[in-house]
Amino acid sequence: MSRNASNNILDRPLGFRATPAGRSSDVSSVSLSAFAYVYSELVQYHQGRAASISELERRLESAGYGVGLKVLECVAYRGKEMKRETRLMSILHFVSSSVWKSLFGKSADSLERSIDNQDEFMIVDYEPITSTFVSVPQDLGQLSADAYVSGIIAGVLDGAGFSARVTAHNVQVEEGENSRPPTNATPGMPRRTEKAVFLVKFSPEVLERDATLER
Amino acid sequence: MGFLHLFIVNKSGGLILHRSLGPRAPSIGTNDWLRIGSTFHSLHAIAAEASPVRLPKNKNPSGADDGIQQIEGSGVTLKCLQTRTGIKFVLTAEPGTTDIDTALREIYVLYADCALKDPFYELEMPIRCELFTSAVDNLIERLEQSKMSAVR
Amino acid sequence: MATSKCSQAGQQLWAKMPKVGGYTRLCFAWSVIGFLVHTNSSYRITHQANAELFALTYGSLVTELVRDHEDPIEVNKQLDKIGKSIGVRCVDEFLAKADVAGLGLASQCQSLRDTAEVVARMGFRMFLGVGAECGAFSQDQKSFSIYFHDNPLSTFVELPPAGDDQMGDDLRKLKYSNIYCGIIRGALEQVNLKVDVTLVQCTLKGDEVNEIRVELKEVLADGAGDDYKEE
Repeated sequence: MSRNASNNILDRPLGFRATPAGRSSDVSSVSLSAFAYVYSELVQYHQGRAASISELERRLESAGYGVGLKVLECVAYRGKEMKRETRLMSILHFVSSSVWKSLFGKSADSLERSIDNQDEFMIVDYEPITSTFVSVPQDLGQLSADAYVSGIIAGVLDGAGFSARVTAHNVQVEEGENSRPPTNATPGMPRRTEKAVFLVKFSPEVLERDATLER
Repeated sequence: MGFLHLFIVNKSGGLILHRSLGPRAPSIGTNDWLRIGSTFHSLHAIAAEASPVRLPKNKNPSGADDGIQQIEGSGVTLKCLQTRTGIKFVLTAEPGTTDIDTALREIYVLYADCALKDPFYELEMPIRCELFTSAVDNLIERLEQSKMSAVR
Repeated sequence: MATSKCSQAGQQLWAKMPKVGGYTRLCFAWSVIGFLVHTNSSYRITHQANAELFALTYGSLVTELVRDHEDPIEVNKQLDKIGKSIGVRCVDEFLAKADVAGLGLASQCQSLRDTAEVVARMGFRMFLGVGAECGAFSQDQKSFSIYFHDNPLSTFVELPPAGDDQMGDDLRKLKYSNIYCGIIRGALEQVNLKVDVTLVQCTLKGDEVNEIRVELKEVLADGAGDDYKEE
């Protein structure tokens, strides 16, 4: 069978599905449910092969890492300016706004610098989609179901030349801290009590380089 | 008037969740709950068999096999939603409580969302998802509140 | 080959469909319902996820399977198994939300034909946001095909072409979207229909359309399937 020209991935616009000529389709979204099922299976698959909680997290991170590398290419390519971020703060803004918007349809809720450690930054999301429907059982303790997202962040940063260790943490939301109405979940689902904090710890050489550029 | 208990029975008659929904709900021990679950499951099956009009199209509105939909007592009303996939959601409430059917349908949706999409929930096993139980509590609270405001 | 004949018949049927009066109206009605379920807020499957994130996440699952199992035939099996696990779960969401939306699926799914319509027109639209058609019913009405053009799973995917000697030869046996088969099998099994499902055409392999063949094996006892037995 001959390969249909419009079905060849190299002949299509980036990120468009194979469709016969003349058919246009909304390629931008699937239902959150569909994503949740696939992600749930991804977690179950890795859980079956991981011996410990930290190994499960590491496996999810490495699954996200590859995705992050690809996402960086896509988002950078589509960006209006077509430029490469070289500074620490601008790459962090790039991640928490551009990358976040393209993956989750909104910016991250906040980007903070750690007070204690100069090399640590925090990206906060009140409703990360990876844990929308997840209740972590007690015997899995501190497991963060958002480890996959931290892997994506690490992939994006690493691909851009900012190697960093990124970890996901669940943090209790303080009373009145997040006043926005919940957007992500089905109506009738309770407001989330925990937010995801993605802790980004850059490698020393990245900080050194940034300090040099500062001058 | 108010909701008393929710319990959910899987398709083989095992109790997968029981929850008290209000301060007036009598307290029932876990062993008793397991017994209630499997007894109800059996009664449901017997009721379906005993129905004098047992025709092939003898279905409840959700397309599952016919059986017990409602039990009325002077102090309690029980309503059951059996899904097409064989799960039974059962609510007990004080007589005169409205919205039981709505609550059952909404609980089914919440079950689909909070339990079935949770990678740590195993099908047919007892539900231990915090998200599901707090969503059920939320729902019941919301229904009771809307009732209160309707009374005023 | 029997399958390619079926698929040809399916395509012809599809091409002719707009010309047939009553059936068109039915098809149109189903499409509208599916579309509403996907978009309308009162039907509650409104929340969307980015299709690329979805495709990449599935991709990372498939690459993990390929890494762990190597043999693509085994990977196909695993994908089918994973799909089944999704299918047995998602059918409840489908029923629950259709019920809340007042669609009353019970009265609509009286025959395998109706079930096929519901899976193709509503299921695909509701979860994946793509349109699918069903057709190519066999003489005994016990098997049918689902056709769809847009495959959200394979947005970024290209299988290694034929004749590529570095392990590409092997991966050509991979049925990348085999998860659909498991999903349909799992979902229908939950409503007491035991079916065999195979991916017979796939756009990744150069076919014009994706085709999934569904074959009814038996209606499981447990009462709920009585309707089908009678026919």
